[in-house]
Amino acid sequence: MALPRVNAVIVGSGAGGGVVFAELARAGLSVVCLEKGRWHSPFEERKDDLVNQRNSALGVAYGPDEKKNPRVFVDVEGRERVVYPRQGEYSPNASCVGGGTYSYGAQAWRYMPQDFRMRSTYGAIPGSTLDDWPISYDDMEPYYERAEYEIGVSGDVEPNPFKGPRKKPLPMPPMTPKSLEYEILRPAALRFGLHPFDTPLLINSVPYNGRSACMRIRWCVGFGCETGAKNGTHNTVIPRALATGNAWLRTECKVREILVDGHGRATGVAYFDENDRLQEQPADVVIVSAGATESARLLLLSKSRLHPNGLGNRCDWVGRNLNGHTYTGAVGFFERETYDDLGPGACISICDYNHGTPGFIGGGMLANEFIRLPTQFAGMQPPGTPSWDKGHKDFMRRYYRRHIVVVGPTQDLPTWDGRVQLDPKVKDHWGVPVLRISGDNHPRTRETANRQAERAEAWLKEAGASFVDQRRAGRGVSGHQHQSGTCRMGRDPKTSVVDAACRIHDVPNVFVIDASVHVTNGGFNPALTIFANAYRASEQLVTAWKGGGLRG
Amino acid sequence: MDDPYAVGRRVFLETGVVAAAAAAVGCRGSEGRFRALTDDEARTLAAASDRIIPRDEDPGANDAGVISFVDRQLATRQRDDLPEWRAGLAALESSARRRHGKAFADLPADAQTALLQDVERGAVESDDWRSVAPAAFFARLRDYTMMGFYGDPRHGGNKERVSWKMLHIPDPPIRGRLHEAPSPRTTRKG
Repeated sequence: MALPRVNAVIVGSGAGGGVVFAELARAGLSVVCLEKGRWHSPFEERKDDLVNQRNSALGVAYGPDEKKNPRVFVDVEGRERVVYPRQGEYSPNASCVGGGTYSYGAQAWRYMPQDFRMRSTYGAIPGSTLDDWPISYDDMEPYYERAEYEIGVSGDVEPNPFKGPRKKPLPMPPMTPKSLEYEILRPAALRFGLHPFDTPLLINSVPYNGRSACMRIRWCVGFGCETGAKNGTHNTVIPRALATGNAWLRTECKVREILVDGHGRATGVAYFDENDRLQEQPADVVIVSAGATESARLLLLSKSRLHPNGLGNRCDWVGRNLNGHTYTGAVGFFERETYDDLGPGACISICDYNHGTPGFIGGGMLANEFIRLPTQFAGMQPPGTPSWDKGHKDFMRRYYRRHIVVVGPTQDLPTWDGRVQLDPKVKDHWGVPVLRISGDNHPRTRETANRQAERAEAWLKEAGASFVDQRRAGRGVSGHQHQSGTCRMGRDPKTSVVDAACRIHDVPNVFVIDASVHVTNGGFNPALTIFANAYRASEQLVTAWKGGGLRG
Repeated sequence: MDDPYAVGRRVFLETGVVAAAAAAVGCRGSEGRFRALTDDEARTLAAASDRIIPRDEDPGANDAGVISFVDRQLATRQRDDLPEWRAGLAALESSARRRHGKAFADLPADAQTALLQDVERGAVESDDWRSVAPAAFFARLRDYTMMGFYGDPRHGGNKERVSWKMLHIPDPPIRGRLHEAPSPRTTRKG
């Protein structure tokens, strides 16, 4: 039996859905947000080196459920196998209230103006579906600012001459004291003529929005924060939405499909509730914000007479162009101490190598890495160093406190074959077809990424590393936590899934608002762009709602 | 998040206990010392993991409780992996007996290391390794030993945080030290 009708139903409470939830609720709409996972409490946080979203050797801490949510992964040789959330090939992202923002590293990057104009900047690239966004950096600027202030960002990006124009500084200063890695890397970058600055983080450096400042522990990326100093949707926009009194968050609700009437218009969603009972939530508007993998899956699952291939999939673009980032960098081994146990670790960045290298496409920022826990460092010995026995133990003792990692996300060239689709055989716990992930990254992305690894090595050597181990580009489609691109935003309905307002071209009342709509994914962690675009799209949605065009 | 599978019964295993276990008849379940492994399997695993992380001036794998870590995983989260572990340990035992006529645990350390090196690169008699790939078993053995030694104590390994003390990282972890001047020297021990 159907539940009482609401104005809007949102699928997912992560960076996209959380913001939309608050914005629609504040505009007076009745809104239900359906979240597949649980609402974790900071008070239940127990830092577990082996069960978290960063090192999931024994499992993931915040979902998705290991046994109930398999996927199929097809490697570059065409071999397929069933994979589970603890495996990288799964492209896992946390499945809980807050989505990825509950436990992310929380780097808070604005994309650069060129990142919205990749096709215009670099031309057509064979083998890639590279295109421009239908909106520009200038369109996004006010919403970046809103995200920085409403969610909360610390850092100092003023010394970065490569950034897009901005009207206000970040709301919080960088964390103090500076860590040892910062003190070692900064002078080396300056000697090279680079422009280092304090990494922007969605983490409180001072008390902000009623929550405390970061306590600088080493368990940060991949973990929830027990003091609430890490800002996600779970402790900012979602509480604001609920405070309106016209918004409801339902957890452990697995949406099966978007329901569509005989005119091709959405009427709501069908979902399995926390007791696995099938429910129907009627709504005037449906917003899909389940992340680039699951949002595409939901559209593909929503087949009807007028949409036989799924919603928005008339031209076979849903699920295409899956990309995250191709990560490369280098590990520098030092003869001096580099470790001071001051979290979160990531604190110094450069953008000198993001765009502007002749012969290479794009690039990315480079930054020092979050603190490596001992169990992670145990797999980081360079070639020639034993991986076990006394030689490995000596390596651990000598270098755990004497190494620095510099890494960066190289912007991926999206491809037609890098994709998710519904697997014809494998079903999840609820009997619904699971995702099948396949494709490769683009060879020119790997070229750029390998160049970045060389630059990371040079920076570490200048900083005094006695030897450096490059981490070069691997093969395979990227996705992971930075997953994007599967429901591309564009002006032309033949080559995109949603319009510039994030509305599906041929369905008037269904929106996709998360990284699925990113045409390209920048050379940066995407969270702030997802927040900002959600503010932008929400504003347009509210305007359309007030104009009456969205009511069923 | 607490280990949802943790149960009241905890197995504290010292090197001496492993030696005692060696005398016990192989048995499993409630009759043995372990929740998933038989006493014989545990004895082989104890000897092998001590070659992965040997005791020297700092504790080794068994001092840190790596066996109880592995056993607990195989009784709980990684229950599905038990057959593969069991096959691998049996294969290692067969290779030891074929080459040296002795149980793996009774070989001198050098011979144990040499045999494990052969397992790592797959240079072992295929008759002994029919049901499990030697290199894959070795990778699992190494990874779990590392996790049990360097990972979180709540899972049964890294007893008394021995590896974290070895690496001179703050123990117990210091929390709430906002704006304290960083001074790595003050965190050193031993």
